[in-house]
Amino acid sequence: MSQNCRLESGGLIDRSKALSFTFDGKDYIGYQGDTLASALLANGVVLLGRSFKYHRPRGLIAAGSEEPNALIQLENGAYTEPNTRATCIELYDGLTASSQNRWPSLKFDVGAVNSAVARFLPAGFYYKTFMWPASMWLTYEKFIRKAAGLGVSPTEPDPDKYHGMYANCEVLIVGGGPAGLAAALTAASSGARVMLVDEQSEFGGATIGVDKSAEFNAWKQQAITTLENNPDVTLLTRTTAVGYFDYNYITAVEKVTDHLGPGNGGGKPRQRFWKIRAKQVVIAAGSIERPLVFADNDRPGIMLANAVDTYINRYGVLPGKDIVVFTNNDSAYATALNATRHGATVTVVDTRTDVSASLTSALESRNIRHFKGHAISSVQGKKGVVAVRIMSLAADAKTLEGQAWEIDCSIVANSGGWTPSVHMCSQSGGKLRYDESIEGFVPDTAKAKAINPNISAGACNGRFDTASCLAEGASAGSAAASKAGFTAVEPALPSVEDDGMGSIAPLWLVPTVHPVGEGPAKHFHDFQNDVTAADIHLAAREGFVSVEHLKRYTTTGMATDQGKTSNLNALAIMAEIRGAQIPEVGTTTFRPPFTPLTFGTVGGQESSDLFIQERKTAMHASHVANGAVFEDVGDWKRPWYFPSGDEDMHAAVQRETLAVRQSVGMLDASTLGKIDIQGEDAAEFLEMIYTNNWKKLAVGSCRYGLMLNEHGMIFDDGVTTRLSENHFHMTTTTGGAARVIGWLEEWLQTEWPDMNVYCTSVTEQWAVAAVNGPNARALMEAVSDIAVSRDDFPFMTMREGNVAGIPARVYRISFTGELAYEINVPARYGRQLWDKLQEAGKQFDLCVYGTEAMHVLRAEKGFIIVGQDTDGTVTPSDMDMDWIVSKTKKDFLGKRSFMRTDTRREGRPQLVGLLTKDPTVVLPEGAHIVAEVKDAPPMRTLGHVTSSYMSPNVGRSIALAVLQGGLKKKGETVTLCLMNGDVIEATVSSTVFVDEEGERVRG
Amino acid sequence: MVNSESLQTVKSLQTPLNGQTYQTEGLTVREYQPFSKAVIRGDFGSNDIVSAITTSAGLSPALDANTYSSNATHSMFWMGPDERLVYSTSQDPAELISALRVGLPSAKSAVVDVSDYYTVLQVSGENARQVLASGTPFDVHPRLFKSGQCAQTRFGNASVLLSCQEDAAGYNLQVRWSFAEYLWGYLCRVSGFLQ
Repeated sequence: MSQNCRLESGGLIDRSKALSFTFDGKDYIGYQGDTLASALLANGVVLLGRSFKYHRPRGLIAAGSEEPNALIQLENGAYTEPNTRATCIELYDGLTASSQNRWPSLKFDVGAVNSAVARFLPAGFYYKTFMWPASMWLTYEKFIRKAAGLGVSPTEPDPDKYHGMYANCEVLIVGGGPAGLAAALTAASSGARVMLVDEQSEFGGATIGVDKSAEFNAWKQQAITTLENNPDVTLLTRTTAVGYFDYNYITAVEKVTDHLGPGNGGGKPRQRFWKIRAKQVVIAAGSIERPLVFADNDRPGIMLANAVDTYINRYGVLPGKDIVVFTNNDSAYATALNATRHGATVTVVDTRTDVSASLTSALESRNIRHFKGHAISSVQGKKGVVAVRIMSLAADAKTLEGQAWEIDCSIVANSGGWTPSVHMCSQSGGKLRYDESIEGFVPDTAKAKAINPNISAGACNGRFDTASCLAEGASAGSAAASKAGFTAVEPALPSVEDDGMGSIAPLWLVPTVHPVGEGPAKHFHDFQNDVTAADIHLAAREGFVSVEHLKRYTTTGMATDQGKTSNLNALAIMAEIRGAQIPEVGTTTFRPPFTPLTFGTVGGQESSDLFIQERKTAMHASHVANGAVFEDVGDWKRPWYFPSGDEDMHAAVQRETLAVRQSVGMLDASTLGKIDIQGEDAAEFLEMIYTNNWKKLAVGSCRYGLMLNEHGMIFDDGVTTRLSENHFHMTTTTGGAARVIGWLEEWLQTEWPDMNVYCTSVTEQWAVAAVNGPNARALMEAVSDIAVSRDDFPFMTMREGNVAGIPARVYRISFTGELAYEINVPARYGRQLWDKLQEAGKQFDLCVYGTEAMHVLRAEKGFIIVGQDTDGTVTPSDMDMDWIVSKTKKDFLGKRSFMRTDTRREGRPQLVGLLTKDPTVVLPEGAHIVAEVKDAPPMRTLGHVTSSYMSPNVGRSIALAVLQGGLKKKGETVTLCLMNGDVIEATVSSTVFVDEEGERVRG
Repeated sequence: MVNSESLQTVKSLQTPLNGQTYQTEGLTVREYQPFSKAVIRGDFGSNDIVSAITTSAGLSPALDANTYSSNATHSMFWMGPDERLVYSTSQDPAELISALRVGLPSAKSAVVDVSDYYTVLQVSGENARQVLASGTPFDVHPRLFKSGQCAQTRFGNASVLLSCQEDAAGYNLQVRWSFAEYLWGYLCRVSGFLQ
């Protein structure tokens, strides 16, 4: 394929490095240094996609990130990325891309019928039509989404790597054009840490590829070199600042290896997500040219004037031989001259009658045809411009008059003026003001948000000429460094010839031979969301006149380009309709991200195993060796069960549960929360924290306690031991450990600061092996020097000594109802302890068991699990645990709420046991006990199942449930209705299914 | 900072990462062998408490926020107005605990053994700062974070005590035992991603 639009020379591309690529299945050649957009344009491809709503043929409008039309599906399979702008894709060898939003093919698209029926698809059409009936929305939505198209997400996991990185600096500069470079050079001279980010592949902004002057070019090169050599400067190209958050926290996406093509990045990440905290920010984001809104201004070949310049200057591509330049301001005259110099035949159509003599004579000297006070009245050609018709504008600029001239052309380079890129300023909370001299919004420095100190400099501040950009940049860099506590030296700046926008006479809506909205032509202002001037008129007629309503009603500015080229035109057209000033219509707030970014980038390295930490105990390696299947408990990996041979979970859990009550079992209980409490008021403190009495607990003794929150509801539970007069060791639930220490600290620090109590988390200091079962004592005798007879070491006491030769604290407490010892050793000995106990336990057929068997064993005894049998709405009374609430204590946390009439009333949900009529049926947890079975929900519910297991020790299924007034319903029959419609009957029972007298635990 | 050589002498005991070392271009990450650590709680505005600790540890406790004091055998980190963390080369935590208790009023203070609660990784080499910046928002630029300074911050999802070593040999990251593997994996992964 020949590059028929490529110039013989010029541009920053490397003609010696040809790159082959594929677009919509056709092969093309481009050069190193091209973007996909410039390479396609070089090959004469102007039709790049179909529009969102009307499926109209669309081509390139811009050369930069503001491009609304050329959204591309890049690459295939797992590497595919939808909605990438062709103007931002650096070409690499083998690139594969396809157009979007067309079916079955780009040139023949069935959706284009939408264009023919456009009269019936006005703004708000989807909302109005598909709102009713509401139940059909899900059906409508599928069709609308398919028809609306845009790109397709990959279905495979993302094969790329991403890197997230924090950065701190004194001065961050967003944008590396003349203003940004001058700011960076100045700020860096102070010794401050400076970061300069720019979305393009090199610094220079609008001057890239432009031969400004030898002096400027040399300055630019020297500035970059000076910055590169400064170790306190971080220079980031291909990096877009996407979000500006409070306290000068800016996020930026660096495309590290995208330009090399998928899978070619070596070990490097595809993209890097920068999270930057800057003391001061200089915004030097430049400006965006806006299109003129004229009839059928969306035809492929109609581009922004500066885009035509960029394709010529930077990429050596002349988009067409015959070009009409259509403008309302001076800047496009440079485009006309530039295109003429490169061999194009150019006609300038200016809506103004008053054009400066120097511009006129410059055109004359090049023999460029020049129409003043004229406008394009229509565009010929659907899949590419072939000609335009121009007519004279009437004096009021509202109508056209006279003879229409037809001019053959393939490119229309149009300019409606320049819009400062105020996105970052707006995101920072800054307000905007309308500057009539440039006909655009600029940052209102008087209304900046104080916590986000920033300065806008250059074109984003409405200063479009290079000399002003350099000067403003330098002074902004100096001011920013100074505010950060550094002293900058302002550098010498190069002189440059006068450029910029020059004068402008706005013409927001170019009239045609028909009134807007009538006749066949459409005036687009928002290309990506397919919104026309007629839609703005409709919005005004229907009363949606404020900017926020206008935006939502017409969807102007709500596409992925955030209205970069459309917003001001929409506001101005609405202002004209209302007869108001543009600032009265207002502007919308720009929100992050500035340009779309991938989820992978935001996640960075924190994916797969780094997504959430897997916390492991000191015994973990032994569990792995024992073949454990793990369960996630909070962040912890806890052994769930230990299958033997080809056992399934049920078989393993039944075996483990039986083994504990028949001989002895061992559980890793290291994850339980542990808090060391010291100080003379420790006992008094516990009196307030727990519902029961603690002052008289003997040294060396343990006690179970319940904590309530302020609402009188159960919050956590555990066993606490008095190690000495002023020293306690508290245990909490695994999941509650962090919450409980926070709770203790909150009360100590905010309510009881006079108490002498110090709480220190020691959860992971101790590795814990819990040995449970009738043979636990025999095992302890075999491995420990602690006297373990019933009298020497009674239930609910603690002893210190050696276990397996390791210094240990042993607590005789039990969560199974069996004779049990919880052996605590410093974590460094954890694995050693576990392995030695396992070895010594062989003679007793010691069974290592997991959390599931633990759950069955405790349920057999009716021991609650906070968070499973309780849900934050139950009191100790509801759990049939009145015995643990002191009747004599003056106060404890939650007491007042606990004593309320509502928390004392009968008929509250209360914990009971359930025995199904059929002992083989295991109720699903969560199953509802219903008052009356009906054919379908809703049914009045009386309670629900909280725990349910097959118990090998009872020889049947058992369950715990909360049931309204349940404590008085023991022996009654209740009915449960399952999700699948099954109805199950069960008898309300005691919650204790094994050893009701509690003999075994005291064994 | 505790003299790192003496920490290497205890070989037989278990740490979450078994004292392993990871080396790549511009970066060395290693886990110290186990050593003794204790939390002291009390009123550091009291001269009695400060002098008792100074005597028992042979080192006066750091009094400025986010700093640590150290000598050949001990380091003492400021963790809060009423809290210090002591590192000791002593291989017997019980010995450290009982030594620190001497002279402290048991009614109004606490000394807690946390030797095994935490492990400490050393991150060193010319890329150390970039590796740290991949996980922590805390600014470790040498102009702002110098030897003798420490910070309680986060690295990824892990709470860490980050300190700058005395001879600028690198940074120490103290982390909970159960987070050690996560932190290790994080450091190793990002080390391959640097600029």
